[in-house]
Amino acid sequence: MESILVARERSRQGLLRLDPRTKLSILFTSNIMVLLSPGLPYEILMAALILLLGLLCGVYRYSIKMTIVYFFLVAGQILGTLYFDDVLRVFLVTFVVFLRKIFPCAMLGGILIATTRVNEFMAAMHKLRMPRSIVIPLAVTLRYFPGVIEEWRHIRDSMNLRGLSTSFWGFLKSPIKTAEYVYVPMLFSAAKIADELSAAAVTRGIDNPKIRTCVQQLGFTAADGLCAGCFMVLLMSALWN
Amino acid sequence: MITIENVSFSYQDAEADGIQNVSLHMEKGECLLLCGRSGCGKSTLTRLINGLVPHFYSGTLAGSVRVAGMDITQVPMHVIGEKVGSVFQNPRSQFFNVDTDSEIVFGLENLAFPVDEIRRRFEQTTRDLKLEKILGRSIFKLSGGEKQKIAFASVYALSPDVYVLDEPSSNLDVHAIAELSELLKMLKHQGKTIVIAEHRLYYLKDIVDRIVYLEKGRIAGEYTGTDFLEMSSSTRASKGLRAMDLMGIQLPAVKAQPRTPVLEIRDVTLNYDKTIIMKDIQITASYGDIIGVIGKNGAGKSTFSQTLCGLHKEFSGFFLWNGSPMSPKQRLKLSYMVKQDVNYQLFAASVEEECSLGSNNPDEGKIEEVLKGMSLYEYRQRHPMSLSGGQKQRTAVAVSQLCNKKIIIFDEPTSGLDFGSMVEVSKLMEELAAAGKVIFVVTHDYELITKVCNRMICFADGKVKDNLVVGTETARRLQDFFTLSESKKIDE
Repeated sequence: MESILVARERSRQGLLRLDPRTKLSILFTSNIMVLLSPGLPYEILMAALILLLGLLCGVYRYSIKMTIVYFFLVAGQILGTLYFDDVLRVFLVTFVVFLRKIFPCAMLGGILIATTRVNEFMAAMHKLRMPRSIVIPLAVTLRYFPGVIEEWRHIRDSMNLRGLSTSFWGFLKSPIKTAEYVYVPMLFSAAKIADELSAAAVTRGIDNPKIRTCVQQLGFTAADGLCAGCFMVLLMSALWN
Repeated sequence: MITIENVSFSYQDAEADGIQNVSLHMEKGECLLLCGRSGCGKSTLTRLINGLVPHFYSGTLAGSVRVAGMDITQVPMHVIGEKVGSVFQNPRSQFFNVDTDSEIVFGLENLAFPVDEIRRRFEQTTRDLKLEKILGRSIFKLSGGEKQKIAFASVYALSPDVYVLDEPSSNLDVHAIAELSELLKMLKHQGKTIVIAEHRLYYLKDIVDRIVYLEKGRIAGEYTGTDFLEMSSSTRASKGLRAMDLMGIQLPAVKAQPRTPVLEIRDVTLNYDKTIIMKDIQITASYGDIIGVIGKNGAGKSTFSQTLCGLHKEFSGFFLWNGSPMSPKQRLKLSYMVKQDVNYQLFAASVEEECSLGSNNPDEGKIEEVLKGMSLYEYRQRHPMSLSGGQKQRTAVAVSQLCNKKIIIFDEPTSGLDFGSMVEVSKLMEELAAAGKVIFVVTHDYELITKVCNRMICFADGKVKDNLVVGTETARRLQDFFTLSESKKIDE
């Protein structure tokens, strides 16, 4: 009898299932690419590749949304350079260029977090012989982010009830105050969650020195080679120039 | 199975209360309930058994703790974890994974069980705990009760001999508590040893063999289940304990009802993501009303309170105040919600600053008056986060007073509170009501409703199912809801 666990595992994601190690190597390569980038067309090509990866991994909505934002950033940079006067250009265009530069890597990061389970990540890290003191905090971080939205909603509601503005304009009017209002409760709740989360993990043997098993089969397939290869080729082409 | 001898422990940071000279012996298959006021040391005692003390929380420990043949202080956590399973209070923060399936096998993977064995245990656990419906889901899409079930499953998969539960029912609704109770019965039937620290006692009535009462870190009494049930309600209250037999609670006679209708909710339909959550809501409320809002998780209680205070805007119908309709924006000005997790509501660096936050010319005199009324004046220089849970709640209420809010909604104000703290919260509500506020309390706490509410509204099947005056005459209807005879009817 086939396990339910396995059956659902197959239907879980898009066409492509990559090993977490491959994903990390892709993220690493992309970061170097941004550093070495010869110009805008190159970076657009890179963003397109990341979009393709996102779609193949089954992260449709997020990838498309992020691509649209990226498109606007690129458009903003080009139009800004053409039509703004010097002062505005320095301020706005520089800011937009900065955002646009780091954007593809952030998008890639989002795709990777969405497609990697915490346990896969931990098993892969252990296979890479990473020490526990690095793997566990990283895993907790990976686990923490999806929950931040929930926290933010609570804080936003409370701020609205107090007549503290949570809109974009409110933020522009008093950025430091607004940031502080969000930051204080968020920090305290993060500290509490981290503490409770660790206690719960420790009682379930997370500090076991043996290499942990993983229900999901980890291992490299042709797809891993192909994806890592594509990004590598793009990186090499930057070096070539 | 468990032998604790002359154990004293004090925490290093001295923030939480330790225990002094505690000895306890438990046989295999026994179910023990630890109870007592907040801070009596019952959580510490559970931590001694699952090894979190001294391995995770450090401090000074004297005496010996032996569980399932292990000396807890000498054996590493991952070895203890195989024999002792722990379930905690907050279902949100005990998940290490983001999806249910990985969470169930998390412990097994940590302890490096072979993959085939993990699969076998996964299937066994799903079958035994009837989890089929909630498999393969993101934990962010689960209700509190479902989350607690997965947390349980993750421990169950390890098949430990001893289960340690620290206030497992705090965040659960009546139905989830009933399921938890069934689960515990099953474990007991399997011959597992169970230790539970709890404030809420009623659901354990038929499960516990022995009850240990703690006071200021010492064991101050041991009872059998029957002894405990026979305890008079005044003795129980003086020990700061919740009722074990809900049906034994005497309801007050119907109080004089406030008769100045001021809020009218007319023909309101609530939507969430374009689906209808509730239809045809008609409620009127007067100054001085304290209205209990009950219903299953997902019955629409939170959407209702969010809409009432103007935070949620997907609705149709009217909210009238003194006869004139209010927009969400106006309602936001007029109402305030004290959240279950009040930590999200305090922003400033001191209680005093918290009170003047967002106002351009704060009225010093009024702040002083309100803080004195809430007995917070002496803490006015303290950081809100350094206060106790009850003080934080009062700070939030003080803020609502200063903003001149008229409608105050309490969301589960007594979850995880002992008897004394619950009485404090109900006094606070009575004071607010006397000061002419309209109060709604969303709660699963039967004792609180009988204590403080003059009216009660029950949400079920997408509508207001009951709208009652609380008192001896309506006791039956109320009891039906909490003993679930009502819900069984609904489910069928």
